[in-house]
Amino acid sequence: MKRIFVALSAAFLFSSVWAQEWDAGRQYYQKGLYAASIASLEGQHGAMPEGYRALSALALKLDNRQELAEAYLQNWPESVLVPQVSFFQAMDLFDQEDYQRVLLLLSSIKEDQLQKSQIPEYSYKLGYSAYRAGEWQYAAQVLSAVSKLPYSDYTAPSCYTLGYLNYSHERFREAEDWFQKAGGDVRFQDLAKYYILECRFNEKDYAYVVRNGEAMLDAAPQDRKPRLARMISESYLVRGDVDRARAYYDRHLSGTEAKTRADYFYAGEMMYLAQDWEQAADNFEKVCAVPDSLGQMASYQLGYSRIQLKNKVAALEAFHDAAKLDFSPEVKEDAFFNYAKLAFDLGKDTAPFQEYLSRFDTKSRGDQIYSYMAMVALQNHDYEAAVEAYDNLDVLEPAMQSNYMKAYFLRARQLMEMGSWRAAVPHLKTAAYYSPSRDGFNQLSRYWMAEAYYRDGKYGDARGILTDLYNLSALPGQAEGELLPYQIAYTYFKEGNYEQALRWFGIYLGGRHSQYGGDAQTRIGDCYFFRADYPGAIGAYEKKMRDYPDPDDLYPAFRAGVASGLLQDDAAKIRFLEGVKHASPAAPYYSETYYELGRAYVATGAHQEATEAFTTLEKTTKDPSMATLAILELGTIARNQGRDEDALRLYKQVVQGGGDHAEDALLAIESIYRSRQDPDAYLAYVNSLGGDAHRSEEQKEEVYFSTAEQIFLSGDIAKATTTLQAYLERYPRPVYGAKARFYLGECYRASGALEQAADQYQAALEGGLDAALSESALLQYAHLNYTLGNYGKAYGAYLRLQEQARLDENKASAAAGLMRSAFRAKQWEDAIAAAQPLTGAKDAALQREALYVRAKSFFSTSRRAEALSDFQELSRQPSTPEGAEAAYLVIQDLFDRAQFGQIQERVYAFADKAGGQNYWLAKAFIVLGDSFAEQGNTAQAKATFESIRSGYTPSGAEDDVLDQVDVRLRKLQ
Amino acid sequence: MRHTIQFSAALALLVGIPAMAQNLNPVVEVTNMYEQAATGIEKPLQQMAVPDSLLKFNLDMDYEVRTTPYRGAYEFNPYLVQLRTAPRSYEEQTLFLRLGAGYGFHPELDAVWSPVKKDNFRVNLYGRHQGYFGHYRNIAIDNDYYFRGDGTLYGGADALSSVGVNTLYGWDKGMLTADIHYRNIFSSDAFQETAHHIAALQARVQSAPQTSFYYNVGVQARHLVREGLKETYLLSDGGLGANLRRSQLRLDYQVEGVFTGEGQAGELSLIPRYVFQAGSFSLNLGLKASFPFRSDEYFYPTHDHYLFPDVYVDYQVIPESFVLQASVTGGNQLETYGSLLEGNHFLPSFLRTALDFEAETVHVSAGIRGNIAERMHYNVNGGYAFRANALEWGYGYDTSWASSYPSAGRASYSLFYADAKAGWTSERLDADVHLRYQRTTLSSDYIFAPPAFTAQFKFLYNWGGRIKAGVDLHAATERVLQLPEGNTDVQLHIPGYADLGLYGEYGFTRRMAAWIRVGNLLNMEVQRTLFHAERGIYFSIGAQYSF
Repeated sequence: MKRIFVALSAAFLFSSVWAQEWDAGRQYYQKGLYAASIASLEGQHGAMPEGYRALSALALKLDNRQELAEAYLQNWPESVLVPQVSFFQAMDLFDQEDYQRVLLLLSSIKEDQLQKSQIPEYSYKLGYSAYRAGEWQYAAQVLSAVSKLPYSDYTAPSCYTLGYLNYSHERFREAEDWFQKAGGDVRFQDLAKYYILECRFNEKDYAYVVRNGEAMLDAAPQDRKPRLARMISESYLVRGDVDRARAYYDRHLSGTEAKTRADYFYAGEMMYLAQDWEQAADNFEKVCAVPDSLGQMASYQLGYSRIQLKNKVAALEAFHDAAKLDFSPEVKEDAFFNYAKLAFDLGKDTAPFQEYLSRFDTKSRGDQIYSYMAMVALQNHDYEAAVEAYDNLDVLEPAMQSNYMKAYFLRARQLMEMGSWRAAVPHLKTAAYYSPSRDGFNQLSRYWMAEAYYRDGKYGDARGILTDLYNLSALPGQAEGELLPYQIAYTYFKEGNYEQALRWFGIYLGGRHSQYGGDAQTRIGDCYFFRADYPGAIGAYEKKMRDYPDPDDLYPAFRAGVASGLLQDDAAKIRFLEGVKHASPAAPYYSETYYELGRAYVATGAHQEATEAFTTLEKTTKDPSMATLAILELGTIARNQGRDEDALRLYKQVVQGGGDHAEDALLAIESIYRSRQDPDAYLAYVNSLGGDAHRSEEQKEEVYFSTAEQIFLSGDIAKATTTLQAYLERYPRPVYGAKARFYLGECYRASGALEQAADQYQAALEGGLDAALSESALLQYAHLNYTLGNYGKAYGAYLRLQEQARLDENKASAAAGLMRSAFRAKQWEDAIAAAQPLTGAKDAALQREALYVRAKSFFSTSRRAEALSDFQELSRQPSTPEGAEAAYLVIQDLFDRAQFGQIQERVYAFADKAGGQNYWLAKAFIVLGDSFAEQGNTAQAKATFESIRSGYTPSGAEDDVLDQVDVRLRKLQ
Repeated sequence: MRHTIQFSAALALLVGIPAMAQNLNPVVEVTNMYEQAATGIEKPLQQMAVPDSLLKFNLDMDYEVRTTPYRGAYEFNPYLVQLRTAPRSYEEQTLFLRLGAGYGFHPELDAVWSPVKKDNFRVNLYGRHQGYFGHYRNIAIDNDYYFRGDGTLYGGADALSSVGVNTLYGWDKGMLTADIHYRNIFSSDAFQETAHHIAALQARVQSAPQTSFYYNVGVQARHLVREGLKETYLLSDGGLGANLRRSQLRLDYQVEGVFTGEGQAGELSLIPRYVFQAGSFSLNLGLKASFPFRSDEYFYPTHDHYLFPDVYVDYQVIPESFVLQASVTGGNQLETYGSLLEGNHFLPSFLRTALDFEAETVHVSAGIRGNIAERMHYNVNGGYAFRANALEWGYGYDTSWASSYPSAGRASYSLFYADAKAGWTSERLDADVHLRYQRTTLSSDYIFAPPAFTAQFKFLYNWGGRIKAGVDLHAATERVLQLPEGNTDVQLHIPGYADLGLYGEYGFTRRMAAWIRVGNLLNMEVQRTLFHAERGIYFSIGAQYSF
């Protein structure tokens, strides 16, 4: 109580008969007597006295003011002084630049809780704190509100801050407006002028900068001068006044004082624009090390500088560095693009392009990239790569169409040459897509598409295309055009429509050119034969033999003989078949013809000739079934001649050999014993055979398969194919299916039907082939897929083979195959891994190949240093294909690094030792020509290219040397 | 396959006549499939002849990495000039001077000079005077048993003058305040004319709120000299404790003593206290142990209380807006002459000496506080207290009421009250209101009960900081003598009053202003101190200066 009396006595002095106990504190506080306020509030407790005590402490800036304020806000949250305490606490924190807490505190206050006179300060400091705390959008919102309030001390600062906010967000037009408003306040006049200049500069009003900047420069503070000078310099530069630009640069920015990275950057830009690439690159290099936005830009520009210096390898590194940073998405994207392009140019590494496309959503760039990849592939005659690139294009520019169609066609040709008929079809279809149906290229593509269909057994599809082409009188004057009826005829023939086949073969033979006349004539005979028109067949075969004589072509004679036999004209039969005696035993149908000749002799009773024929057959044929038949026939002749013992011996020989004719032989033996009325002997013989005498279905299947196997082993591929197919057809669930398919695969492979062969090997492997054959099947399957260009499948098969192979030879094949297929499949890492162990192979060629594969794989994954190390080693053997290519690539690397001086010496050294490696030597000389061109020695370059053109003989259609030379000569003209 | 066999059989029939003759069928051609179909007959492979034109490509393409056109060397990088806002100025004043006087002489002076304003340290020199020198109404009982002015006047005075120096030092962990002053209280009425000379010293050091160690130590010494009386009063209070994470544990204390020629008295109080928050509750739990001492039995001797509750509970109903509050407290109050004089400058007319304990055995209150629209604050309470040996103002007489004089006496009674305070704080308007109703069980034939209702308000409106206008009121209902039960005497009254004042201020500059005040506009008999009423309406004009 006594303390209150003191306070009351003071309060009474202030204008009223009564006041609250704390009123003196309030009044002293309101009058700026803060210490007196605290003194007058001594001993008082409660929301109001403690509030004024905290406010006074804040105003006095006592060291414990924040604690007092915090305690007050905590103890008296319901007090009406809370907004004031919060406000002044925030003001105090603002002075301490603790903007986060200011933001927090002021955000907790509403404007209407404050005194009206406090609102501009409140809003400005809230906005400014938001700005300093990085909440720029909110800051702009709040500060804009201040600018709309009646003019106060905080109007100009708010405008200035808003100007700066917009300026730093590169909204220069808005920024300039705010700076204009702030400039009315003398406190901000100079700065606002400067920022307005910078805004104008960024708005590309270079004339304004030039007009106003010079006057501003002298008066500018020292730290601002370089920046101002740079803007003036660049403005002059943009306006085309490089001299004045450089003058400003030299005067203000190239001094001896320590340069900042920004200075180096600008210097780089200056030099770049002055086309002093060396200097530009030197300056940019000093900026690149730090991974910030400036570093990114410098790396990017460094890349371009190095491009100008022709050092693509270094440019690649610079672009790659720029592409790793995220500060400028545009720079990053373009740098990545250039990096990818260079990686592709330098090492055919497509991975960066792929990464580029996956990381940047740039459809147009995607098309550009793939066009570029395709173009480079075409230049190198790498149609597979070209097609791969084209496959990624959605829209094809008209200018590209010609290349596109050719690329697909030539890739199809490669596939067909490998036996990949099926895979060739879509390529040919694509090749034909962009050309009209009457266009020669279109017709040629479709012609070969029909052929691919035919080879794949799709006769109807093939015929559809061929008929269409025929109706268009397609490909006139070309061999393919002439062959259209022939091809159509074959489709009918394969389908068993002999009537139509006969017609179309006839049309073909009626044409002017008949490249395949003999074959067509034979097929006409076949058509008659299969239609059972044997006289017609005989006539046709005779015409073939007459018009297209070939002693080793026994087929027409054999058919004519059989047809004569069917007409019971044995004399004619003998006449047709006797030609076999002058044919090579290796000729197709040799055995069959001899057999039929023997039978014809038998039929005419010429047993001696018959015996000679069957004996010759038995001795010369590699077909065991034919040999068995010959023995059986010899037995029959002996029986007919009464030489039963000889007959029994021969029949028993047949029974002993097993096979499908054993049953017939057994019947014959039974017949002989019956005729001797010696059943005991027969039974004894039968008993001696045991179970072989009466075969079960399983045994019969075994016999059937065994026969087919023997035919296969005899080397008669056509007959083996037919027999094995028959076996598989006869036994839907064959016991020997896997083996039969393996043999069938072998037959197809031997006959060149590689895709079918691969299918059969695969089926055999899936069917549970025994271990020994499995290894062989896997090897063949892998080889075939590799040959057919299915490198991925080949790689998988080789991998399996590597795991399963027991034979060292197969293991070695697997290792080499693995490396080759990974390399061809562009599985670079796998290729490197597979090549690694083979670099130590004993076989020098394989070792070289492994080194080559590893080097190329390194190269294709931009591991340039490792690649070059391998290439250097390989280039010591420049007369080998790998060594020659390596020597060329080492020379190309010098070119890519702009080390032109060393190229000539290296090329000549290579020429001395290149041996027969003309292709790579020519390529090396092209690089030499390029290096002359890059050094400005056009005459020397031209002479080099012309000497290549005149002296080089292409090694084949895919040789790109002359193309490359022509391109360069065109450029030089 | 069946037809194949049939065909083979037919073939054998046709070509195997000799064999048939031998009754043999030795030729079963299982492999002559080619004879009836084109199986095994392959079309010759045709070599693809590729026209030269197909191998020629249009390769006219620039294979160089493209060079971009000049993009400009300038990479925008904001140029930052970090402007520092000047620290906020709070315009702390160095000198404040306010003085005034008028008719119905109420001279007043308030002067504060702050010669030292350095960082955390402040020193203020101050001098204050407030007084009245003039006529008082002569108070006598009328026919209605009211003590009213009888129409005559007498000369008198009531003045308080003080000079002193106070200082303040605040540092990050605490604050020290000190004050030393001389005060003169002069009063003159129909019964006496007395000057009191008071020298006082007080100081307090206390920890900042957030520090872990809590301390608060205050000392006070006051020496009062009046003709025939010397009184020395000493006090130390405060506490020690620990600020925990969300609570505070401390031991408060108060020790005071008064020394006069008539004797000494004092008291030591210890209050262990635990302050903490539990959800929306804020609890301040204390228990006061008081140990009074005295030099003789003259003092209130028989009702010593040693233990008192000291408990305060708040409950936040609406955070930051509305709080329920309750408290149970009690304690002894050492009443000295000096302390009573602060409230009644005419004390010598009532008492010549005073030294005793007043005890508030228990004081229970409950209420609400909070704000409305974050501008108006209020604090409304109701409660009950039992006061023992409380000093109250009364009268005495020699022979009859007509010759009555001021007096005082002690009594014990219960007090029931309702108390409402409210205020409005804004830039334009400061307003405070205090209304109180109270009822006591005080019954005495010479001590007046406090007025049942008192009302006080003050409004001060501010036009742009230059013009201020205000109105204030202090009103009380009559005070009545509550006679003890069975007493047949008549009931005496002190009439109620309403002291209404007006205030105006005009600022010539931000530093200088002139003011005027008119008091007791209703010309009422304002017995704020019993039996003392100034003459009537008065006015003062003055000036105010600060820099």
